[in-house]
Amino acid sequence: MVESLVRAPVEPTVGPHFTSRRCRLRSKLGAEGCCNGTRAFPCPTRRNGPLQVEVIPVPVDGSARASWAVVCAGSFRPTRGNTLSSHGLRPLGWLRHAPLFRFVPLLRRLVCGFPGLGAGRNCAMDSGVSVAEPSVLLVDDDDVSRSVLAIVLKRSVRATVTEAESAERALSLLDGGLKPDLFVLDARMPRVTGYELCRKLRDDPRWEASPIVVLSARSGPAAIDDAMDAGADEVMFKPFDPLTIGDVLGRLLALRRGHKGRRLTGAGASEQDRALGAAVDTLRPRFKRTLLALADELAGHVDEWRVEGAETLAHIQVLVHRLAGTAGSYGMTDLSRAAREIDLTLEGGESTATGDLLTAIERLVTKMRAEGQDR
Amino acid sequence: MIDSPAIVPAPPPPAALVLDDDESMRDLLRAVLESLGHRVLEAGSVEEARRLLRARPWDLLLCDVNLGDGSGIDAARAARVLCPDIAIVMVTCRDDPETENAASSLGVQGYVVKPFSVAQVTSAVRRALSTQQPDPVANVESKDGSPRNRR
Repeated sequence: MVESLVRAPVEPTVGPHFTSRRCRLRSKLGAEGCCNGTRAFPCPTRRNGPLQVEVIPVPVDGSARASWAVVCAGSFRPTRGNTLSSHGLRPLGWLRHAPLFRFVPLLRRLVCGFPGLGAGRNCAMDSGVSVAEPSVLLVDDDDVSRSVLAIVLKRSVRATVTEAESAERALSLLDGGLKPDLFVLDARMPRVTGYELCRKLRDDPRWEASPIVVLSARSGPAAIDDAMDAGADEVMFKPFDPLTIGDVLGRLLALRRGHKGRRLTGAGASEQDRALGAAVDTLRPRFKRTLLALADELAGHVDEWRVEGAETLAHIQVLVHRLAGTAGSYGMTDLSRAAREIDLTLEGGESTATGDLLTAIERLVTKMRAEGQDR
Repeated sequence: MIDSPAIVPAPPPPAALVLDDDESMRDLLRAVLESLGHRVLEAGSVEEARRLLRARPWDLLLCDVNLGDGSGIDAARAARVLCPDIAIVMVTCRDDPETENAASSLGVQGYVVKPFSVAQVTSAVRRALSTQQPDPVANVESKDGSPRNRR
């Protein structure tokens, strides 16, 4: 279950418009079963107890119109000023200038992941079952911004990213069979703009329900209106903070790894240690799957080494060297020690497939498979 | 109606960049940093790290030394130029004096040798962030976890 609290504005300069809007939001939530500003959303993707969510009205660029920041209660530190990031607030995401009739579904979608996308994947993630990476189509004519976003999506969100430098290219990729789970579109592109592309996608039955994020270089309510009118689910402003956009896109894709999002600043040291221990435990199954893949790769290189001699020696050494550090850090000391011995032998100039070295590597492969299969 | 909560100023959580070409190692380092309350992004190569370093100010760089497309020392050098106040902790497979000297000359605040314990990384990160200013006398995390100074 997810609970949301509608808080009073945290900004001292909030005007009557905000008060009015807050009252209307409370009234809207109340009509949907909200009691005293609190509402519980069913969240099939969350298993570890309720998630507290705060909904705070925040001015957009000092304008009189409100947008709404949805903030994890654990990180909620209301302060003076009119921005969240300058005070260490970490929004789950933003719901900007959404009409009230869209607000509750948007909030539910933001917190629980997108319908049809989040639930199954999250549950699989939580239980440690391997799942396919989500796919993202990233359309932006700006190479720099596109490459930074691609790095964030690939490395931190763990998504498969397809890049397109124009709307035309994006449409041709989609016609070619690409099926993204999420679209990220730059608003301003030559010929066909991001807004136009967004409308085209919404008119296509294949993509009418897909999550779409528009990146706008213009800030303010007009940009938000344009994006919402075009059918976007989220609008984010350029220049963007890669940390924030990584958080938001990761959440949109409902890619919650076991340890992700646990913020324990201010908690006691023992609580931090327990949480960290639990987080590392959730990473072990993933590392064991990696070990199995590495074992197969290493075995393949050994077979090649027998045939081709020293050609593949460098590959073996890279794998063994890396394994020595990583396995030890995951607490697999025997495996780490065995890898380290082979690494040192190879570093010492061993370049022939001697019986002893081959036996040692084969024994290492066996150990890796045993560790990888051990549940 | 819920009353406005009390005003409690809080510093923003540190922004940390993890650079390692091994995904399993990035997972582990990310878990450690997130448990410390950091906001974390990952890079898998020196070039990716350079791009992310240019994209926003960072408080901490935790980086491997041996990377596919270059050395972590190159990334640390770029970080010093792009984010002068960044705290840098090097994480490497081998206790290599040459690398440690290069790192120290860049004012790297911490040095952790793989395989490491979580406690070693935690203490190295905390110490690096508490010093924050580039200092030629870098804290070095020895294999047994005890800090030692290296000039």
